[in-house]
Amino acid sequence: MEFYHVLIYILAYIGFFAIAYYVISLFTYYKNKEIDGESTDKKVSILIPAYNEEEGIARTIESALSLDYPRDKLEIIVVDDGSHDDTYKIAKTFISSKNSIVKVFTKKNNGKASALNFGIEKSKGEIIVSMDADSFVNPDALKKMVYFFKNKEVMSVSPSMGVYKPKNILERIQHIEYYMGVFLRKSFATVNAIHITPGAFSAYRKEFFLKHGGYDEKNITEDLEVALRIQRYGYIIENAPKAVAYTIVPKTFRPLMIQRRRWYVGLINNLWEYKDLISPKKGPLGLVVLPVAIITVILSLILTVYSIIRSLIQVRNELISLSAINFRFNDAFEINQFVFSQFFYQLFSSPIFLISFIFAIIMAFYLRFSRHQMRYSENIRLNLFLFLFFYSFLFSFWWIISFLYAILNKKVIWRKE
Amino acid sequence: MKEINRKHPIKHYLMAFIASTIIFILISLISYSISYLNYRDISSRNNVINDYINDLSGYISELNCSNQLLFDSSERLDEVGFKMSILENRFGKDDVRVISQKKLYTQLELNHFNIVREFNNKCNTSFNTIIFFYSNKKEVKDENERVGFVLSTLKNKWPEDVMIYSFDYNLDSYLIYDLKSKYKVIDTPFVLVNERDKVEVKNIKDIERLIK
Repeated sequence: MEFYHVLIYILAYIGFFAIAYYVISLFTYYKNKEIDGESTDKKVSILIPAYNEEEGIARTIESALSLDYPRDKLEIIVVDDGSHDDTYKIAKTFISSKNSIVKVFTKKNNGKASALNFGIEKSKGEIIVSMDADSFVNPDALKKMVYFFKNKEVMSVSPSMGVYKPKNILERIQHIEYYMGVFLRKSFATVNAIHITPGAFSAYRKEFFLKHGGYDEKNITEDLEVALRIQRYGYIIENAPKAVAYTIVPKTFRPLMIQRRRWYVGLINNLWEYKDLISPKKGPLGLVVLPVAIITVILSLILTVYSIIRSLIQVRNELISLSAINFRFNDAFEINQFVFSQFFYQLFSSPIFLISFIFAIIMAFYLRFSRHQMRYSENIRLNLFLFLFFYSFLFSFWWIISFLYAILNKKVIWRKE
Repeated sequence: MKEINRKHPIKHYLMAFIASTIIFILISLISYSISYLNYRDISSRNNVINDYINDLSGYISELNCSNQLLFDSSERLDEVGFKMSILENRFGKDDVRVISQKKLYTQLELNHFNIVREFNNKCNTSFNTIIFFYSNKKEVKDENERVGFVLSTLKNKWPEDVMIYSFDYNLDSYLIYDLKSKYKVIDTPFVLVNERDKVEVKNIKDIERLIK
């Protein structure tokens, strides 16, 4: 058996095991627990750190204001992190009266984590919600998230993240990727294994920051670091799949690459820092979720690099063969029944094809779950097609670049200037 | 640091392990069954070819110079040869079933080859015969596949004039040993046109200039 096939079988087996485990955990969870609810019993401070966000800040504040939550229990704190544009001026227009629930501050630029820490100091809420300046929420999202804080062990609650109006190819691919995240996040939550809380819209108990310190201002993925810290201290991170937040994803290749490079290098650095979490003592997080994630990424990368090299060699051999027969494209399409029958035998007698087929069914199940939770009904066929076709290449490319950056310890840009 | 109870029922791990193992075994069984269908198909086709070749021998002894039967049997030989390569990829070249079918196929090819020779003599025809020895050994596989591809193209281009007979150099069969010794085959790829001209195939034209 070829190395290539061995690698695919190992990856597939790990994949099947992890998926089976997540699905079993999910079913058990929904069988034994009250699924979800709504609560408005806690005072909430929404922190919106903003740096050069004049284009989207008004829309984000309006979205926060549209939340269906008692006004006397809600405050919106905008922290302008020394923007060079009109972010601060635009945000100020939302302070209409002395009783306004919107508060706007400006400070010297020092990064998102520093702006969030500044906001925590100014906040009066029991629950802190970090909200990116390019995110939107459904009006019922907050009360659905606050509901989970009735358990005192819960230190953070994450929502379902969706992509706002995907139009071009990259946005559509990310749309499906975010859908996958909805299922996985809920599955992880059922075994308390969430290790990433989306910076775009996540809720935290303020008590955690007061006891264990605020956001790490030197960290390029401060939201990821907080999630791992919560796990290290043995608390619970919950997920409210019916609480939906939307984000505007990068539209073009370069900004998307910069974003992913930051996420993945941040993930590598933070996992190294929190390597003690990869241990059977940490339950499913340390025994299944983190090891499977790491092994899958590493094997996928090896497989992709090997496949690319293998394909190039095959193309070279093919070209040599074609030149040996003085190939003319006009003669190339002599298809007959025999060719079709051989195609059938070759395709279906390959376990790799069947494995891919089963993964496609599993993916359809993920999507169905996510769409149901997010009450999303628009057609996503084109997005799915683009995802299946391009995602593995993009994913591998981002990871290869990120590994190089992490190994060479190169500086990672973390946001637009 | 406080620790919450992170214990997760071991039965969940066990269930996941069993489920993933069952899925994996099912996939292997399905793909194996489809390969087996292919194997059955080859076995039955080998029988069909055998019948064709027997009929052909009868026709020739009666001095019936109809080409059609020759073409039909040649076409079927090619089909089985192609299927055989799929079977070999799936079960491996050392699989007992592959080897037994290959031996039978070699015998049929040789019978066909002898009949074409006889046909050329008796019916005053000039079918070109090409003997091709190939090897699946890793170090020479690419080169052999390239030559095989050239020969397939040649057959597609001249289906009624060229008869190609492919033999596995490494097959443990007395027929192969005899052929290797008769045509002095010492390495692969080995191409012999009309039992006369040994050709080092770089381009399709290297063979085309030798065929009638």
